[in-house]
Amino acid sequence: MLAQDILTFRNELQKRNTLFAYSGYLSEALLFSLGGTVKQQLEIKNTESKTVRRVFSVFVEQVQNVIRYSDEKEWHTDDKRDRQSAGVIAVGIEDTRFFVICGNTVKQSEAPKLEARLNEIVSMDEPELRQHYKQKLREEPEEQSEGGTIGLLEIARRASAPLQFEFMTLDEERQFFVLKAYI
Amino acid sequence: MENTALNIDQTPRSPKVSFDPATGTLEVSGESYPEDASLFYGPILKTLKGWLSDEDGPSVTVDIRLIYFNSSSAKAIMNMFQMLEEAAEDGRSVTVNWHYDADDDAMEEMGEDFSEDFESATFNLKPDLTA
Repeated sequence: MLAQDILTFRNELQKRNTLFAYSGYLSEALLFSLGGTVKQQLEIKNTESKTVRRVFSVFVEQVQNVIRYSDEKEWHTDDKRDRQSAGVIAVGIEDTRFFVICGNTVKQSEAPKLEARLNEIVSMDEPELRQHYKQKLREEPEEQSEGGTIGLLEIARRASAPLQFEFMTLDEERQFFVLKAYI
Repeated sequence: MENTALNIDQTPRSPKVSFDPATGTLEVSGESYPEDASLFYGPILKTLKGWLSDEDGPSVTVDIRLIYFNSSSAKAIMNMFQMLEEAAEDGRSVTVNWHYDADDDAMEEMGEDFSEDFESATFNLKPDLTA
């Protein structure tokens, strides 16, 4: 039963073309380890170095978004480098394209702003994304921001198709947010 | 003058930073996605700012050799470049060399975009880096 159970779980992930998936608390330390694994796995598949760089870049920004903006955070110490933020992240390959998908809870109150920002980003073409990135880089960050908008723009610029995203209401306080990028 | 030399060793996720105030040379090389970009770059920018505020100081040559940097680092690099351009506007001679791998179009684009902010300082795109 135990083996069958976990095999079913594994098969389900494989059916979704997953190279690897992680669910639980994400941290900067884990980002570093998993990032190295992403690079290695892509290199084993003889992926073009340009694509490896793009997937890696999207992966870093996606995981850092979860670490910074997940509504389920634990502070191991008061140093923000040590914080643990709950989320799910997966890297996979569909046909010939890699994808990076992440999910985390966000505060109900913060969801509309994030949604508006993403709607704006998906409406932009490449030159517009580049221009907007330049502009954001020169602006003073909004209060409490750790540069999330620039991170989203970076993901959009490295992606080969418009970003996919969805918000789902969990309860009065929180929504579940998912972002998927094809590279 | 206080000793403002910087010698920060490279790690797998943060660049080597070396700054010699006597010769006015600054080099940043490696990868940059530190756990906390403002914590990493804050003291570097502060040192540089203090040193640049002396208008009679020597000319400045900056060599950036980054293979990868994340968006938080991009912000810090932008701040550093703004500081260098301001020093050039105030009369300092400033040269920034942006070294990148010729195959890396993302790094080339970033260099081109950064170059737009330099008027008084000299900014050179150098596709001579091998990753």
